[in-house]
Amino acid sequence: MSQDRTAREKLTQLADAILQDILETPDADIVAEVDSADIERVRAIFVEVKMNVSKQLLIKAKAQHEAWDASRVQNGSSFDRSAARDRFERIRRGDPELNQKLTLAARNGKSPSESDIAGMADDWADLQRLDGKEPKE
Amino acid sequence: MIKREGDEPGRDAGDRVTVAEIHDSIATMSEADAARLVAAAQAFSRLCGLDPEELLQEAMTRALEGTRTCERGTSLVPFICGVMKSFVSQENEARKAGFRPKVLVRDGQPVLPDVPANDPSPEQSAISAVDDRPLLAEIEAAAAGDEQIQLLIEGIYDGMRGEKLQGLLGIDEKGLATVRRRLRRLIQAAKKRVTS
Repeated sequence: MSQDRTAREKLTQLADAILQDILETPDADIVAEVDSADIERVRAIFVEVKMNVSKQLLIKAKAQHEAWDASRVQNGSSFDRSAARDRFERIRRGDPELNQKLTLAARNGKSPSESDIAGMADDWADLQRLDGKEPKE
Repeated sequence: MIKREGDEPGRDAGDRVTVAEIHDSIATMSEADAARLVAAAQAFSRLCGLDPEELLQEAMTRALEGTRTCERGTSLVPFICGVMKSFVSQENEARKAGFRPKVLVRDGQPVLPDVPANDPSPEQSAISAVDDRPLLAEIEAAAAGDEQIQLLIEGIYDGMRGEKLQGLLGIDEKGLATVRRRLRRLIQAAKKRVTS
């Protein structure tokens, strides 16, 4: 085992010496020493790596988006919009005071539009979801 | 010099070069710097058995992913070369542990693991335990007829550098550079014989 460690240390020392040599070799000498096709290959490898890393990031982003989507569905974001509207409408009509307040707040006393109702129904669904409850009447 | 993310949690991220800066440095590197990366990849390849292209690919991948970070003030070439050099011990350690990780980027997936992926079999361990010794023996055998190289190798094994090596060999800076270059070529040739 100690022999292995010695061999390892020797290899590491050689690697260090090689690196020092490469870094200290003058520009013209190192360029002359290396095949120009290999130098071009370094640039090609960079482009390949860049593409692969970008691809990898895209895969991760997709996976995260899918996980987020799945958690939304699980947490009630698959909420039935038309059913929610119906429920919200029933609550609103069953509570004249609430309806009066909503009307005044939404449209200066005019009846709220379809999109106002939809927005309020969505807000209501979100509040229910944040409370960890399924929307109920 | 080269830090892994998470090594120093309290350290200011501004002390490190950003991935975007590394990207720009690689994209705009000079012909000489590209040549240095090639020379280092070829030399380290001899010491660890990995293909030079794989070494370059993997080092650049780690740099662009941000899994290896570079302190401000460290130039691109020493940084990338340092990452490649770390694979020399990593790969040899892996081989010692009885497996050899693949160092390829396939379908956008870099596939060099940082940790052993499989337990080694006793047979694998027995075979791999002697892996670097033939290479060292081959290097030393190739240097047998050259006293200057032999002395240089001994000095390097003892951790000597620069002026100490010059003193040991009785040569100046330029002379040392020449002998070191001969050693680099000798190592490359030695590994070829070991693997062929």
